[in-house]
Amino acid sequence: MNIAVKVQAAETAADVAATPLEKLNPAKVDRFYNDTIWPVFERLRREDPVHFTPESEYGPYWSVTKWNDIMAVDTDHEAFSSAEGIGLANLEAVKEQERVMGQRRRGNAGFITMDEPDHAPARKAVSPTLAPGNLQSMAPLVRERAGQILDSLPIGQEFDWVDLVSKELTAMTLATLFDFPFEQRRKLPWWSDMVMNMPGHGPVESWEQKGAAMFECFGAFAELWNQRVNAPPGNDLISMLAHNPATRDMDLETYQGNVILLIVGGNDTTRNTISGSVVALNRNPDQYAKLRANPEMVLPMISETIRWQTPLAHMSRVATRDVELGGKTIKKGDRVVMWYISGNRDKEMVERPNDFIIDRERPRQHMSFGFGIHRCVGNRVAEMQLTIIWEEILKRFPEIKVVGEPVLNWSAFVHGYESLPVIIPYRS
Amino acid sequence: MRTNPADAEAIERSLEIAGERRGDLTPVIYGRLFDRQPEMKALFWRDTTDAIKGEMLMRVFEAILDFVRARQYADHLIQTEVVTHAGYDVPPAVFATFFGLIAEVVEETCGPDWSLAMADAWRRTLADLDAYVARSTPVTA
Repeated sequence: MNIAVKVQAAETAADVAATPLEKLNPAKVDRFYNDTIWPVFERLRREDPVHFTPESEYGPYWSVTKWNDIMAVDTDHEAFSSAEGIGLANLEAVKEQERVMGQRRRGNAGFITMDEPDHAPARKAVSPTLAPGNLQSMAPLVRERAGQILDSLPIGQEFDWVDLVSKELTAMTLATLFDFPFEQRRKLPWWSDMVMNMPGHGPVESWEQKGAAMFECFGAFAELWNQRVNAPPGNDLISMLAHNPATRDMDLETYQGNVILLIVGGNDTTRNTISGSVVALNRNPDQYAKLRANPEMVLPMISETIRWQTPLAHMSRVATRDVELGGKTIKKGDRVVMWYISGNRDKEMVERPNDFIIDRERPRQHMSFGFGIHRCVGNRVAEMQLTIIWEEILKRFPEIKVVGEPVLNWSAFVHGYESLPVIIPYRS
Repeated sequence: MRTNPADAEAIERSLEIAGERRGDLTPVIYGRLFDRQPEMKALFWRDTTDAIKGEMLMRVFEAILDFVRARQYADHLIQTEVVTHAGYDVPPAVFATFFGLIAEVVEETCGPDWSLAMADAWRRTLADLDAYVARSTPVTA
């Protein structure tokens, strides 16, 4: 951390401490962008673990910040619905999006925004592609491609790790899962960035450009659907959706929602954990040395990074009835945000939660994939890619050196990196 | 129906004794699962160090303890796990097998310290857990 960032962090901590509790809005994006969000969640876990923000750019919402309370919400899909969207939506952004894309259903991000009984059959339609058996047959291809990416990196010269490694690996894997034209694979993370960013951030320059990119994405996937629905059933995600009785008759908007879910979901966790692992190991050289000395620690290191980074900071629900939680009454219709990023730092559940420790007793104890019926369907794909890339990195490079401050995403949802300047000094 | 406090105490004590006697129960419990349901083994092909199985077992123990105590989340969690596991073609019946063999291994490990109260508590809790599994959302497609 450089001095400027340290000063900013200290100012933010003082600012957070001085803010009246009822004014505390943990979803303020600038704190995520500046990496100064931590004092907010520390205070909420300590003083007001189930916290209400009456006014914000997202409207009123509850924040749930401790592990057990998050578990209680996440596993109770009857009391907490996903049908009206799983992220906090900026009200201004919703208006602008409607202006350029027309009125669309709230939520509408595929099966993750469905409640039972619709959700389970729709989720099951794509699960086989992401299940352990299919991943086992995909693993050699992912390893070969990971090797190609790493072998093409410049040595002794600064480059952006996010662009050349994190995005490229996820693009290759997603293209395989969709059986998407491989030469056009970089469109997948680009569309994901276009969906998730506001104008002025990431690649998004204007609402019109964002709308056009989304329509381009929907057009490309409509074409894929038409190809697959008229062909014999295959093993890719689109073919699964086109042929499964639970999904083959879904309307266009639901299909588009599923496409966005799979592109964004397949992108963000993996990509930002790959970048996050490089950041975390550089900030904790003792842990990097431990990993180098014991390459079999890749798997626990990956799990620890998924906890430490928490690539999706939150998920949200809407209460379907009045619910008592942590001594507060959440009213029917209220929006509730489960801050996984805070639950992962709950010291009652994780020892020394702010530290990055790759040989923890329970490295897999994190809530980054969520719990309950909406637990990340692609979690095993993400872990497989992350494990393979690090196994291949350790064979090739003794060190990946971060040489500048990473630029973080402008988002309270995706907790990741726009860019990460690194140098690989030499090959093994 | 909530677990009665005496049953909760008996289950807690049996798990404590098993933990003290044997430490990590992961290899024996999953070894038996794979003997009885060999098709489950392929799902863990990446788990060469038992880390995934170990964490899953810890979560099951925590869920059982929550189920017999405060029941803050475990009743819902069990039902939702049935849904998410269906995606991996794990049928609900495997949950009954798994809970049952946990009880079996805990009983064996407790040896002479296994009591009638523990046996009754586990029998009632297993029946209660089975009822929650059976009540889960049916996955038809």
